[in-house]
Amino acid sequence: MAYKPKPAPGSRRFSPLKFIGTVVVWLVTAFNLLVLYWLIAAAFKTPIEIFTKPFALPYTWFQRGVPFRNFEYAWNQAGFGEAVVSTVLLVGLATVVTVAISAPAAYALTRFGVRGAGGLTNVIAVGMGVPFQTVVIPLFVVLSKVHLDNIYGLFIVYVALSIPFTVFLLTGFFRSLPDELEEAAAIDGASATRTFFSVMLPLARGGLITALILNAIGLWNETLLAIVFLKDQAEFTLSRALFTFYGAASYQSEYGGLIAGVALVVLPMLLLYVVLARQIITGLTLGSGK
Amino acid sequence: MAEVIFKDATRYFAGVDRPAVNSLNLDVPDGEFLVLVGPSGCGKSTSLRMLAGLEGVDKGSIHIGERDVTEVPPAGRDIAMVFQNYALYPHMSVAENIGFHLKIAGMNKTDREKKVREAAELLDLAQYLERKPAKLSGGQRQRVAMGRAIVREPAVFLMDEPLSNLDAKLRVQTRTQIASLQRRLGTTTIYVTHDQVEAMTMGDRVAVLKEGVLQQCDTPIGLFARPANVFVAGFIGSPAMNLLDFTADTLPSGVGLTPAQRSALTGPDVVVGVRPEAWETVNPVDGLEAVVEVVEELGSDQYLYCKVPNGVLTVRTPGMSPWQRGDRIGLKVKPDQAHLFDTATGDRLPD
Ligand SMILES: Nc1ncnc2c1ncn2[C@@H]1O[C@H](COP(=O)(O)OP(=O)(O)O)[C@@H](O)[C@H]1O
Ligand SMILES: [Mg+2]
Repeated sequence: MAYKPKPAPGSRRFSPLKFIGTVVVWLVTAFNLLVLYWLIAAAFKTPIEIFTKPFALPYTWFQRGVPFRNFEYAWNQAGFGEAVVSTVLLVGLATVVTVAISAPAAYALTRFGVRGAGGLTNVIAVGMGVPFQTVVIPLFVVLSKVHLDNIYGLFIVYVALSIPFTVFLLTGFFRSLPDELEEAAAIDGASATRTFFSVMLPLARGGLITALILNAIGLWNETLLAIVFLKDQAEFTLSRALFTFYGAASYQSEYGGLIAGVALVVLPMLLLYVVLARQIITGLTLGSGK
Repeated sequence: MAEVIFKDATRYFAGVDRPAVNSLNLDVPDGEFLVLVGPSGCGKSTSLRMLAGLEGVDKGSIHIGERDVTEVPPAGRDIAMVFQNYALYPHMSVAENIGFHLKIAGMNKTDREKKVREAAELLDLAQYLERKPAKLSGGQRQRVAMGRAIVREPAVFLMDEPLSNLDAKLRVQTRTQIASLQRRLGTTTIYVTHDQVEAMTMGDRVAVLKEGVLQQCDTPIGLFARPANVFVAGFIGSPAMNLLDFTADTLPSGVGLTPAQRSALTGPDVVVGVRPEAWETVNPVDGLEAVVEVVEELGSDQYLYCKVPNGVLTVRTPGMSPWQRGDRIGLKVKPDQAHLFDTATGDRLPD
């Protein structure tokens, strides 16, 4: 029989705060699971099923032997095939470039002891507080003047908008690394660049991965900027394509197909998150502790 | 192989008026094992870091060999340093840790592996070369840090409390290992510790610091036999020397001032320093009268903590002596065993 350690005295007492907290957490979890279930189930249903039996299991398409009919419809009608390629390229590149710029920046801000580095870090952090929705129009006006109102301009905007958070996240990481390692590297004869790449970067790997994943998820789901900047259907990202598809599908009452389209966009990132959740959470809390 | 010289080396920290290291003058000849010792916060690490180039020198200069290295970055000083918490690169194996400098210096792989292996064998690490530091014990990590230093064959070794993270027994073992390794390699070594036992047992010479000021630099025997001032007298030796306040005219029996000492005195008061082993126990009427308060029996020695009118004295007697708590005894200083200091300045009076 496994030994169950006895809790510390006092910790077993009933605490109203703990009780309310537990209830709230479970309610939120249950609600989210329900929404997820509804999304996945509805993606396999006919519109009639969706509206008459919203929480039942799907059956019509299964009976007819075409269970993935909605997905096929969405994929073909929405132009997801091309959009997947654009999205993966755009999001992948923007994420990598963001981290490639932010990591050295965060390193320099935390580690070089430059006068004013603390203030500068705060200025960058303020960038996180500016809701990007408020700058969409000026951004579009400026970029369209230089003919960047396309996927390339969107790439620049994505990178620029992701940098504040990423720098902020990574400064926490670099700050938590011990000074002695850098000093040891300096005595070993490593240049600042060498120290960064051979010593500090490998140690901040957890932070880099967290930054990559969080940015990837955020940019994958980003819709507003994609709607503003992308006009050429060939450049559409998944969320942009879904937006167009939404109009078409609801006009034709293809709600099953529409929800299948939503599922196609949402589920990959959800899966990524579930697989990497532990990594992300340790990444977010490291650096803040101590 | 090189000599190390601190010339008036001074270091200020922002926002602190008193310098952390104040006009440090030290001349460490080639091959010497010099220990910097002092209470926590006295500027030992700062001095060492100035020598390493990790800390700027605000005034004065530092020389290694023929070179003035005051403005030379750490990499150019031909030194190796062992940090208190070892500062091993956690993502590199033991072999990579030890060979990192050689790799940066551009040594080819075969030579590098040979050197790393030699260093590892010298330190009994050969079987751990592929492991990461996280999977080593404290003692093994300490040896990896040593390996990283010796593989470079530097002009000077710098060590900042390298044993303070080990348990007491391992510390004693490693202490002898480091000292004998240094004698074998003959590399000039500056070793920082707050532990005076470590200092006395390891160093060719010991430099005692207090509040950033060098108090005395001498051989362990010299420090013990002729402490330059009250601070050194109290700091070196365990248990500590008894320091008693007297005036020049009321010295206890057996202690007297020579004419030279009397003329060197700047005030009426004298501190008489007596080591625990320098007391003779006599009849209460024949010496300083004291009452035994605590008996500490170590087997080989016995320490008596005795109450006297102006404080508590430590007295060493042979192990298994018959003294009991509450006994009344007389204490007399053995001939020529008293250290005399000027109370006003704290300095030793001339012998
Ligand atoms: N980076 C720093 N900034 C300000 N004060 C410092 C700094 N480093 C050390 N000090 C101060 O300088 C003095 C000497 O420190 P240190 O050399 O580390 O002492 P130790 O002898 O214990 O090694 C201490 O009073 C310490 O508080
Ligand atoms: Mg120190």
